[in-house]
Amino acid sequence: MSAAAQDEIDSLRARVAALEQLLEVHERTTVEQAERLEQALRDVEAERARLQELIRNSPAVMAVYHGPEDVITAVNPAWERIVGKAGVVGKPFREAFPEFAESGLFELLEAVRRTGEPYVGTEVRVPLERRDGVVEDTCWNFVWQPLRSADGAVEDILVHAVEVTEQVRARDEVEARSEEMARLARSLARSNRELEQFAYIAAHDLKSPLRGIANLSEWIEEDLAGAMNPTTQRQMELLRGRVHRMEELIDGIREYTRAGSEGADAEEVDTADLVGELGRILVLPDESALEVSADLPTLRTHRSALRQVFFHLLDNARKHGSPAEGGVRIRVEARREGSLWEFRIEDNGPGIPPQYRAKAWTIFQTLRRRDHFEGAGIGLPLVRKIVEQHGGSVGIETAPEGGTIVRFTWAARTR
Amino acid sequence: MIERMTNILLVEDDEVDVMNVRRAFLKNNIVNPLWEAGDGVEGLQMLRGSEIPRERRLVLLDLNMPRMNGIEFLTELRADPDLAPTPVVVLTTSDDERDRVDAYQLNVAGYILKPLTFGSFVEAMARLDRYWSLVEMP
Repeated sequence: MSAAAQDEIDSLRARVAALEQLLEVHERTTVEQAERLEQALRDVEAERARLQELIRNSPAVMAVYHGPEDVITAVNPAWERIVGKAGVVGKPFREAFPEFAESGLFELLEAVRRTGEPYVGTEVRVPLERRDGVVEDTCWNFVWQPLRSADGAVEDILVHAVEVTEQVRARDEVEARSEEMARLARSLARSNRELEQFAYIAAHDLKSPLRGIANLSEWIEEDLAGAMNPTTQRQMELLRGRVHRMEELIDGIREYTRAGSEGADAEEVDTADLVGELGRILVLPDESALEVSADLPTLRTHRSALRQVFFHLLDNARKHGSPAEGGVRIRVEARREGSLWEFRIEDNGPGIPPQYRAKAWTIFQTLRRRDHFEGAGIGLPLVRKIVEQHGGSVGIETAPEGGTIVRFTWAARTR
Repeated sequence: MIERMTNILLVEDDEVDVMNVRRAFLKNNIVNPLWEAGDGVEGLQMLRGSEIPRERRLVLLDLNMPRMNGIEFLTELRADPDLAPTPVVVLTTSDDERDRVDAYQLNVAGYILKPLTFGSFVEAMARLDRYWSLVEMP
């Protein structure tokens, strides 16, 4: 063998060895690749299973519409439960939902398929025939998501839909009801205004003949001075007493109907100052008659309304307080109760027996004979009306010493 | 000081209210001549006629009256060049904000709510008399 041939053989051997090595590497790589592929396939399978699980358990209605005819190829259990329509799988969308003909949904679905753009519908109202022969008005939030095949064409459309019929109906009902409430409130405000106007005019017109009677009786008495005997004198007194009472009733009606109609702004009101000022106006017998506890608060509220409340309660306490044994004594206290303040006005009068307490809050009710006692039965009803208008409540209790405690609550801050 | 008589025209439809004024004048020894008109129409007639002296005229005016009420009377009075300067005091039971504003728009010299008792009415008339005896008139 020539040296050249030997060289050739060596070179060939070397190449075979290299090829063998290459082959081995290649084999190893191929196995690894196959293993990786298998793993990927298993991952995809698991993913698909999870997805199917998700679709099966989803509370939302899901389905797939396939091909140019939008054939329903798959639906989830929620579909069967909510949409009904047993046996639609395999039917084209248009055939499965003939009741959608007028709704514009067919055209929308076509557009999704043509453009490849998803469609998101919110509270879309459609008639739906879940069972044969029963068409209901239903509402849906839904997405039509086009799924493209490898070549980019839209093959399937995935549907994800949530029925919101009940929610929309409930909301519509709430809206309708609140509209109705607003209408009622407006009509109530109007009739309140009319009532106020009526009371104002009636009060004015009732008062002028009354003033005439008062004047005439006074003049008759004056002109007959000397000719009157004690009986006629007493009758004249009674006559004017009645006139005075009538006047109080008329003023009461007016004040009562007007209460709370003044649209003032809230301001800082020092209730201790307010009570002190009213005590002076009401001409209480002496300084010691009105005892105001140190903790009376400053509120942010409607001054005139709160003033009216305190005025009538202090006036009542003054009128009912016992003049015997050191004279009338009134105590005013306050304590905080959450966002409210509770005020208590206590007198040293005879108290109101429990069975008459409800009556005390009724307009024109008095608990004493009118000829013996000033009062038109306006104070407490007016207090209740104003307090309730401001979101508070009222109550009557008996003081440990037997007098009356009238309590009321009032918001610390009026908006 | 020379007492100057004011010629008073009372425009008032209520007979008792007329008596009220008369009686209050009597109580106060007010001897001013007092004319009476039952409503605005009659009041204007009297002011335009020759019955009431032209100088030192004062109108006491009720608001709620039949035919022509007080505000209508005032409107016509202020539109009449001869009568426009006449001083008018409203004497009414109406404490309606609108009436008050309307009356002052028509240049009333005062707006008095009829007091409830005769005693305070007498007092009001006495003050009114003292005041007008001091006032220079057109």
